[in-house]
Amino acid sequence: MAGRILKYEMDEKLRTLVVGFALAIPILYLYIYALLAQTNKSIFLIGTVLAILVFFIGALSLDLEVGSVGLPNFGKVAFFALGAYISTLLYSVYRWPFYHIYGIGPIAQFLFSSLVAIIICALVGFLVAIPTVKLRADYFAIMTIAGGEVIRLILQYEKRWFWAPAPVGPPQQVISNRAIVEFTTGLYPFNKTLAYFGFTFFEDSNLGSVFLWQIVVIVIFILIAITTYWFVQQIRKSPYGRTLRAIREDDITVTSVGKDVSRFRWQVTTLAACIAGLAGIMYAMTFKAFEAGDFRPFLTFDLYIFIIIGGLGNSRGAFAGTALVQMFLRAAQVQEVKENISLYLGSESPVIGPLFEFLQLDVFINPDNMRLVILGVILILFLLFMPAGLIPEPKTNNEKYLKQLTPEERMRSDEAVSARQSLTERERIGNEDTTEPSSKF
Amino acid sequence: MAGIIPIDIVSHTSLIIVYASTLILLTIGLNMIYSVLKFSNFAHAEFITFGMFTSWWLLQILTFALPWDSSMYLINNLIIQALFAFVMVGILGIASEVLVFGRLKRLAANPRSFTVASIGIGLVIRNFLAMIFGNFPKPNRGGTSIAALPFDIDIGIKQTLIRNDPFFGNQGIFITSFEVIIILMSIGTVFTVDYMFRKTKLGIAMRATSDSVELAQVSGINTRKVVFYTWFLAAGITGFGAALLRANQPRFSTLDGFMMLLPIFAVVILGGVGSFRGGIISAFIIAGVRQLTVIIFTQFQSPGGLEYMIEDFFYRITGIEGLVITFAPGYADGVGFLVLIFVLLFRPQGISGTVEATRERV
Repeated sequence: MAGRILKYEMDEKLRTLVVGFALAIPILYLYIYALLAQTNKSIFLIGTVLAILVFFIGALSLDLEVGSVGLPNFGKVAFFALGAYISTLLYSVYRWPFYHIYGIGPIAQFLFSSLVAIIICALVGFLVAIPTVKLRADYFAIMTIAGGEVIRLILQYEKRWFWAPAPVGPPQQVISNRAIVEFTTGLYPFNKTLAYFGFTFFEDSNLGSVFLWQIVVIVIFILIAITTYWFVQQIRKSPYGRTLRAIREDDITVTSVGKDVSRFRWQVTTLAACIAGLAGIMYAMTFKAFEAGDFRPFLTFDLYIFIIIGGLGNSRGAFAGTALVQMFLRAAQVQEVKENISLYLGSESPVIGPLFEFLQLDVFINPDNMRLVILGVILILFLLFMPAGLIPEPKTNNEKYLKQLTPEERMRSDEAVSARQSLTERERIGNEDTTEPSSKF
Repeated sequence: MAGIIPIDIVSHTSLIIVYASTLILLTIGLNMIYSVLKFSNFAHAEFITFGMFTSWWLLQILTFALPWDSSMYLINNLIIQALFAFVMVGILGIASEVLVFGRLKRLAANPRSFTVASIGIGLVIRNFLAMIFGNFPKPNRGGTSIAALPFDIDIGIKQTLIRNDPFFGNQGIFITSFEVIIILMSIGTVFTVDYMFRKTKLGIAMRATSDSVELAQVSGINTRKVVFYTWFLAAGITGFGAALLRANQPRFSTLDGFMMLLPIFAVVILGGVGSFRGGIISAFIIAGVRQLTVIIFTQFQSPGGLEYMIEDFFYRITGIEGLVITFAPGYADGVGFLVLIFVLLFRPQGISGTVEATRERV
């Protein structure tokens, strides 16, 4: 008995630790290798941190839908695109009356544009949700992919509204974010390096110079991320979040106790659209120039990889997955890493040359595609062997009280929970083919 | 001079038939997998890409290995390439069942996991192909890659039927030989698969498994074997169609299959997932809507078209110059989906009405 309890206590944490380290150590090694190869290391670091924060917000938004209420939304990228486009275009094309207020004008304009962008995201999310939330999971998935593609097409073809007006000539498809340039690099205290203020850590340790505005942007992003994280955690812990989890597990039971399931679904879809719009605004601030072609469904698939590696229905998991995968992707993009990893297999290879010549293959194993192959394999392995992800979703809300129980009592309570879960899962699947009749058809 | 009918109706109709035939060839497999295994395989798009590349690869190997003069018809034979793609993609389908989907089913995973797993498989296949064959689009025409049947490739019908008629204007038909092959093969595949489902033991076993796994097992059907046969046939037919589609394109790349994902799923959902005959009807609907959108939007964009009328109207009311709404022919795929959304609003079970699209009892 004691052994079993110990095994139980060890099991999940140990597995998380082992798999986590098995993933994190090679990725960290690769990342540090890539970092050391850079000439300006601080820009690389800051870029990674910003990208992690942007996609963390996106992953949170997706996790709220997929992990909490069980709606597999594959059109998340549309709200990224809408947030980025609308906030940028409203800032740079239209001058609101309060733009000319001395001092706070541009910032007020930017905040207002962002607010409008988020409201439009919410509206579009609501409009998309109305016809789709009642659909079955795979129909919902394909309809949301299609909705995202329709929005991308609109952004791509509606020149008047969604292309950047140029001072001379026709509007441009590539949109550059002027906000960040205008009120960070131009203003007095922001456009100085940290060394100007006497903080010479980055220069001393040979990391390259850091501007004050970069630090300010990182601090703002971290504040946004923490606020969003807290907000999503509050939703998850509240009775509302419990209802959402109940809908995910068994929507018929929830209907039978008198809840309007569709209403919960569209509410969450709209809320997640707002958060994704926020992530889109941050995307525009981070990547500065973008066009409609950047918002293909692959971006949504990336978000799925983040949350499934990290753990569904779990904000910490979303962060862990985003950080690991983003560091891996960023490191594999670096030129030095590419040169060292690239491998040529073809007719001029030493031993296997003739075989490849016969097969007419000249293969360059390049990290650009290799990293995505590796990611896909990791995703499938996680689905097969660790469906709960690196950090599994907490089984109960009341961790605080569970800590007061003895290990034996905790094990019994958890066994009861998992027994009930496996029962509902078996009912859901219904037809397991466990027996194999021997006769032929 | 254009007549009263300014559009080349005959030519557009032939394009609709070609596109619908392609869609039918590519969606039969998806429907089979859905009806037997009960999940939407998003990796199907990459099965198409895989079929395109394997058929092209066989052409490269044969061109290198065999002398061109004596065995030209063997090297340049589209049907041999398509059959090779059939076998290779069929093996790929079985591999995905053995490695991923079968295991997921034994884990009793929820449908969401199947969807995400199929997207992961798609990611792996797409990038693996890009790694092996290169990221850039492959030119298809020119050199040895003009793949055709062992007869003259100019068999394609290219002639103007009516010229400068006061009523009909210009009407002509322009079909390449590849498109003729696609249409013929599509009809052939449809009848073969229909015969297989109705008359052969394998088809009956598939339908039994599709209805109820337990009952099929009780009647002595080895459902595991049926699942493998389904994967092989479904993926194989897709590869066959992809090889034909590849031969008709000027160039092809690793993203081509993914670009077909949305039209394919539009056809399958509109026809009712898992329904064979509904799929055929909806392929024609989707192809027609797409082609009509291209025609109508091109007309709207021409001088004096609706786009300019709206612009003019907007200018008269507000005094602001510039385009208001763009009718880009690139919207064609999107319009197909809008039709689909409206159909799902009023008839969620699709044309055939075999499957409920909404969640049960909610």
